[in-house]
Amino acid sequence: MKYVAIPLLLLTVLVTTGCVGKMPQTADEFRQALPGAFMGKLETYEVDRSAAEIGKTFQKYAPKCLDVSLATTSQTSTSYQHIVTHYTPTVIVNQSRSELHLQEKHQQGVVAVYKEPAAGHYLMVVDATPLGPNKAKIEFYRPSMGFETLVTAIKNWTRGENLGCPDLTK
Amino acid sequence: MSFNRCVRFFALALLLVTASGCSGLHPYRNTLDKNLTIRTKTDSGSILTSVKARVDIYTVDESCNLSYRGSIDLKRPVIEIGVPASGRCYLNFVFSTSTFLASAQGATGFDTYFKTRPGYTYIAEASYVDGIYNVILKEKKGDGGQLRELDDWACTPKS
Repeated sequence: MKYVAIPLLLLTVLVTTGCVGKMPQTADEFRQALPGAFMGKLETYEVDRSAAEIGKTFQKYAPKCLDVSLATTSQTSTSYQHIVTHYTPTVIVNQSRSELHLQEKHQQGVVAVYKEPAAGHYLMVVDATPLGPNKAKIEFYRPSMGFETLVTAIKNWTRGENLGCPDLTK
Repeated sequence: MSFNRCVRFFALALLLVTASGCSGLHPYRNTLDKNLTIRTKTDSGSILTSVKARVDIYTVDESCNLSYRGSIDLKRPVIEIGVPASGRCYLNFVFSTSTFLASAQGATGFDTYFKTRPGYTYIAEASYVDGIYNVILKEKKGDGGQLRELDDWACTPKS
């Protein structure tokens, strides 16, 4: 009996912790899923820039800075891990808002357990919605931990200050 | 050549190859009239992490094929170099970080194409501060001209 109970318990834990389910396949699904997700965070703030200007900054920096592949290698006396990850940014600018989506696809070293979108799972989504001629509301859907340099760079893009690319190796 | 001299010659050659890292990089022959000023600012944001900057210099032909001309370590805040006064250039800035204690290393790059014109000078402002890096390229006509930021330009080789 205990051989049945253990897998059942594991399954229950997985289901209740939200580990069994459907991975967001679109930016909209990601927006809906993230606020209640483990290690997910929705950060909201306002900036003194127009959403259109923010969109231009996304268009200038995202393809150059975020359309990249990153290889990381970690080695100890007992383990060796080599991971290759490709990041894909998407920028959408229209009258209602400017959006930046960032997807992450592990090409080596990590197995995708769930069905991912073609460009990989959604890592971050940023929406800049107009609040006035020179004011916008930023909604930043992102992981609550890690990726500090990436988060800082994208926040700088929304604020229009200290513009540049994040060093993804940090 | 005696056996001992032969051994010494090969040992020296091996040492040179090893010391150069077999990377294929070589110093840029900075012999042309100086028309490009590179201003570099690096700050890792941590006393445990160091940042080194380097620029790899290429010329670009009409078909957008690159020819590697050499590299310059950006050890000083301001470095003057000469690139062909009329043509296309491709600069690849590489920022390398290394962390003591954790023995972690990383390298990230920022590349830019630009077209040079006779009588113009160019300024590249390269920065790596707290993990955020950028290169801004500007041009100026003559000595008294106004600086103008150059737009990004990409050149895809025609194969």
